[in-house]
Formats: sequence, structure tokens, C-alpha cells
Amino acid sequence: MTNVILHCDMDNYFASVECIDKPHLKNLPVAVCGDPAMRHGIVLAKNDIAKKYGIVTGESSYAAKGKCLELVILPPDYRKYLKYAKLAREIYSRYSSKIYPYGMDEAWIDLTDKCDDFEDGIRIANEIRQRIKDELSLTASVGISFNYIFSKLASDIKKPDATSIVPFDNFKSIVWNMPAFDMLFVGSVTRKVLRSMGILTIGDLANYDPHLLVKKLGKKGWMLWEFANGNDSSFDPRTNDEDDIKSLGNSITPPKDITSEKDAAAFLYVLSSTVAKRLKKHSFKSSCVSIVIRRSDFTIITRQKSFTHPIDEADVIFEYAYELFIKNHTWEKSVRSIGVRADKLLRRENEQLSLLDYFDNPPKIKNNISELISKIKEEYGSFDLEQSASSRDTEISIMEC
Amino acid sequence: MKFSSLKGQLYTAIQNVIRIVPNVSTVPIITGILFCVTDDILTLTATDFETSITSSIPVMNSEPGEVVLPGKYIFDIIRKLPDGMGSFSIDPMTWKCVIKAENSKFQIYGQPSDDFPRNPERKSEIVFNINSQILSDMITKTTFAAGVQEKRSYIAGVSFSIQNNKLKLAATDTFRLALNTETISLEPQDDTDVKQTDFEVIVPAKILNDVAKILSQINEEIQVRVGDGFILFRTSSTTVTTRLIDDKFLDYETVLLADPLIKVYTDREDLVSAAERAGIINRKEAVTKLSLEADKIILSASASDIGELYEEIEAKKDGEDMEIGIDINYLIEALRYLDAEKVVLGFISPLRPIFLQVPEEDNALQVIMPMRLG
Repeated sequence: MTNVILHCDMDNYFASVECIDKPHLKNLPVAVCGDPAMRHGIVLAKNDIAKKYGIVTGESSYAAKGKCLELVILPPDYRKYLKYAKLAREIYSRYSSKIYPYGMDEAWIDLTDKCDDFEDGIRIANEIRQRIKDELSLTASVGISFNYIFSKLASDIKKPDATSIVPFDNFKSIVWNMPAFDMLFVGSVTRKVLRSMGILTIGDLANYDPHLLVKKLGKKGWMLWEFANGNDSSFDPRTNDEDDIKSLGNSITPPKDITSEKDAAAFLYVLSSTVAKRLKKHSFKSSCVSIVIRRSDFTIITRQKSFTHPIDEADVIFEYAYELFIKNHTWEKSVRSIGVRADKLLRRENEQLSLLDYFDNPPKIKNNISELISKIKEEYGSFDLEQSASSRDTEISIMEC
Repeated sequence: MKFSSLKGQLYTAIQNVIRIVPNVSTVPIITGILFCVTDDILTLTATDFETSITSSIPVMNSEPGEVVLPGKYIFDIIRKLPDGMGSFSIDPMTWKCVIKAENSKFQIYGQPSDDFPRNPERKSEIVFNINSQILSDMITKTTFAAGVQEKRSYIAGVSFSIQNNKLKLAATDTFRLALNTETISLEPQDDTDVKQTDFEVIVPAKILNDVAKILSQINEEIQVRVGDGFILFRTSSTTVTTRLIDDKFLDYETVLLADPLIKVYTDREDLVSAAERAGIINRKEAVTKLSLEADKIILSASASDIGELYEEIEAKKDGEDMEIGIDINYLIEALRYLDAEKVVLGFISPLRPIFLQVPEEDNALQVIMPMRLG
């Protein structure tokens, strides 16, 4: 008996959630965009009607509006998205305890122990879709296959509101014609490498000499070759997200430019605190701090500092970030946005303990973080923190400082 | 200005000062060495502004005077001179220095000494004497534990302190600590500036390594003087003065208050050999597991891409069994600098420091922080 893995992907998630309590929007082109007044107005998600106008995720809201004058632009409401993500997971949990979320709107469900055969899996997939429709007024596309990688590919085959199958006996005829770029772990860099080797489809990848792939891509080459041939035993959906995190960063684009060193320090402190919080949440320590300064003329500088003693304390991250800022920013241009990132992450297991752990290092900057935030919010207006991680957080949490 | 000297003596003196002469500097004169002759004594001086070293030797046929000679060249010339007597003469108009020894003759261009930075004699508050070999040994067994300076400047230094007639040298990179103690006496001095109180200062570890090398070549009482912002080491021929690191050292006494509940006695060589074998498998930053059992220590290391190691070392244990993770390289280094046949390892718990000592001796102590076991 082969494994039965479902991959559920909610259709046009952000835009669909927005339409739940605004039913009048259902037949209009809708896009969720950052607030242009807050100066991060890019398209985060759009519905199918907007898609037809050629609106793509990542373009500016002005450009999107240019393509479609009737476009309804909505600001993102992450709390609401998170709420529905949890409700959807609750529905999945009725069928299996093995649920592995991938981002907010996707999840794998391992039904191997619950199904007698593939047909059973299809029945459950259809039931899940129906329940999501009935209980949440949303639609999902579900893929079913004998492994994780192919079930994710399957959910993309037909959208929206559909069930697609990649069975073991003829996966080659279905999957091998799909572009290699559609497969998990093939990002833009890997795609370039593959393309240079003449690999365009998953079939090309599966039939390539794995040793040559290893030469070009290292261990990853072997992994991708196995995936393409239907073997994803090296893939673990539980740790997939966290393992991939190579850096954690936060940035702020305040409603108006930062013009003084004192204010920049305050922003850096807020960012450092939230980065520290995330490091602790993921049990990481970092031995490299980077800052990104985007200036009023849109030029960007990135500077980093490495050190041997890994850290996760806000004060120390701030010290490095502030030092980098002072050394690298002159006030000829004001600062449009500013970010702090922790790189070179080390797991706390196997962490070398320090004699300093013996002492309560009194924070050198005795700032009350919430006081500081309310002060800069007063001065700059309200702002959101933008998070980055080199892979998606399993649960995107909204930074509440 | 002129003088004659035996090559051997001159070479020792210039070796002592060349250590700190920079190859390049924004102040070019300090890439040179100051040669100063008075009363049949030649004094060589070098400085990098942080530290200055002077070294004196008796010379013959001398005429007083001063000149700065290019450090790198004059060192190489003296090193390669034939053994025996060499004569130096400097023309005070052209600063040309002529060196003759046996059949060789060098000519090298010097500079006037007016711009060479001098160290004014400064007031000392603490003065004490100690045997050169003992101090050299203490320094060597301490400095290795210092780190490179990052946020905390004391990490690149060694704490020199005197408390109740005990001289303590301590260094830490915050992951391990080396502490060496020696009894000395602060005798009252005639000089009224000298206060002879207990003190703690931080001396750059890098220059202490040079001091240790200079001291290891002699066996005599040397003088140490500490004053505002500086420390000075004076042997009969050489003086090293260096700036102190302005910081507060880690309060290591707090760490030492902990009482090890588990003590393991073992043969040092056996443990070092086993640890070195584990070091082949586990490079830096990897965790090696120490399992403390009734009559043995088990070392186990594994790296997925290299292999595994399992090693049992005979030991006598007081206290419970325990497992603890450690960076094997810290263990190897700590054991290397504990100079004895047997060692005792003290443990508290898997996340608390490990203490290494020679049984029945409390002059030398090594502390290593463990690694969290995954």
C-alpha cells in the first residue's frame, strides 16, 4: 500500500478571505495591497478576476490600478488571515493528526493510516473541499499523491476548487511534463543552474545524470533528482520550514523619512528587539548582524558585522546594528526604510555556553521598549514591521510589540 | 657616536625589542630602533605607541650619541653578522652607520633621533618583585585562554591582580578561563608615590606573550611596576612598558564560588591522547560527549560526514554519574597547560562550568563552559 498524502492549497487566500465579509466584492477585481500612504503599496494577493487583467503579485498598486481602473484595493489584515488558517487546520484535523502546515494557506495531510486505498483519499479530499466551502466560504485546491513533493505539484494542476491526482503508476506522464521550476526547492538560483544544463522539465531532471547534478548543485542536486523520480524520503515536512531559516530580519518603512540619528536609533532598537524575540522563538543564536538602509533616493546599502560569540539579546544586536549605522550612514539623504537582520544562525542545541551566562548583564540601554515604540509612533505615525526569513514561517505571527 | 659589541649580546638585545617594531606606520620613525650610547652602555628602544621595550648591553670603545636605524634591516644585519666582535660608527652629519665585523662591511642609513617618541618616567603606585621563570610560566599558562577583542575589550587582555599577597593572572574568552596564582609580597618602598595596595589591571595578552619570551631566557628577580594606565616589567637589561586595557574584567571570583559536586581523578596524558583523537572527528564548535561513570570517563564524538569515536579512560570518581557536552579543543588546551601527571576534573551539572586542576594544588585552575547536548 502506498502512502496517501494530501496537499491543500487555499485559492487566492488573502483576497478570498477579504471577500468573505464583503460579499459585494465577489464579482469585482480585488487585490490586497500594502498601504500606499504608508509607502509599501505592492500587490500581496489578488483574486481570479484581477488575475485576468494581468495583475501580478509584487507589482506596485499604482501599476495594478493602471491595468484595471475598477480594481478594488484592500489593506492586508493578517489577524483575519491567521484566524481562517487556524479554522482550516481544524477541519483537516478531523481526518488526520499528521498535519504539516506550509505557510498560512497551505498544508500537507498524511492520510496513509486512514485510507484503505487511493480512492479513499480522493473521497476525503473532496469532503475536505466541501467542508471548507460550507464552513468557511472559501475554496481550496487539493492534490493527492504518494509523496509530499508530488502532492504539492498536484494541487497546482487544477485551480480553483478542484481535486487533482498524481498516482504512482503514471506519475511520469503527469509530472514529468511540468516545468522544473514548479517543484519545491527549485528557486530562481537553482532554476538558472538547471536551465544552463538544459533542464527545463521535471522529466529532464529525472533523466539527468545525478552525479552531474551533484557537481553543479551539491547535495541538493541529488535530492532534486530523487524528488523528480518520485522518492522524497529525504524530505521531512515537519522541519522543512525551520531548517531552511538562514537568517531572520525585520524592517520598517515609517510613513515619513527618518531624519535624525536619535530616531534612527529608536527604530533600530525596536527592530533589534523584535529580531531577538524571533531568534529566541526559533531557538537560534546569531553570529552576524546586518543592517539595510534604504535612503530617500531609493539607494540601498547593506552592511554586516560578524563575531565569534553568538547572541540573541536585543541590546547586543542593537549595539552592532547601531555601530554599523553610525559608520555607514551620512545624513546627506534621509532614511526611507531601515532593517535589521540576524545571519549565521546557530541552533541552541550544541550551543557553547558562556561564562557571561553567569551574570545578569544589565542592559546598557535602559529603554522601555513599549514606551519607545509609542514615542516613535507619535512622531512618525503608526507602522508595521515587515518580517523576512529565508523561508516561510510555519505560522506567520504578527509582531505585536 | 660609535661602539663595539659582541654579536651574541647585541643579537639578544635587538631580538627583545624587534618584537613590537611595526613594518609600516603612519609615523615612519617608529619602524626604526633607537640606538643610544652613554658610558659604555648601548640602549636599544622600540615603540608602537602602545608598548615600548628597551634593552641595554655593555659595549666597548664607545663614543656617546643617538641614532635611529631602520628596524627590519638592522635586525637582519645583526642576525647575519659573523660571530665575534662587530664595530658600529655613525656619522652625525649624514646619519650613515658603518658596521664592520671580520671581513664584512655594511653601510646603512639612519635618521636623527629627535622625533623618536620617548617614554617619560611615570609614577608607580605598586612595585613588586618576582622570579622571571615563575612569571613567564604563569603568563604562558594564562594568555592562551584570552580571545580576540570584540565588544568587550577585556577579552583580549589578562587580568593582573594582587589580593592578600597573592598575584593572580586570569584570562578568558568567556567560554573558558585560565587562572594562575603565586604568592608574592608587596614590600614597603622608599618612594612615597608607591601605595602598595591590592589592585587589578588588564594587560594586553599579545604583549604579555612577548614579555614571557623575554623572561624565559633569564633566571633572575625582576621588578613589576604598575601606575596610572601602564604596567612595566624590568629585568636587569630589559624594560617593557605597556598601556593597560581600560575595562572591567569579568568577575571570575563569582564563577569560582561554585563547589563541584562530582570530582573525577584521572591520568592527564591518557585524557589528552583520547581528547586529541576525538578532536580528529570533532572540529571546532562541535560537541563531544563526556560520560562520567563509576570508574571511567567515556568520550564519544560523532560527525555525520566523517565518522565516530568512542573512548574509555580509567578514572576515579566521587559523586553521581553525569553526561556533559564539551568543545574538545578547549579540553585539550586546558589539559596541555596543567603541568602534572594527574588531573582532577570538577563538575556541577551539565550546564555549569567544568573545573580542571592538579590534585592537591591550587595554584593553577582551568575553567571550561560546557556545550548544550542536543
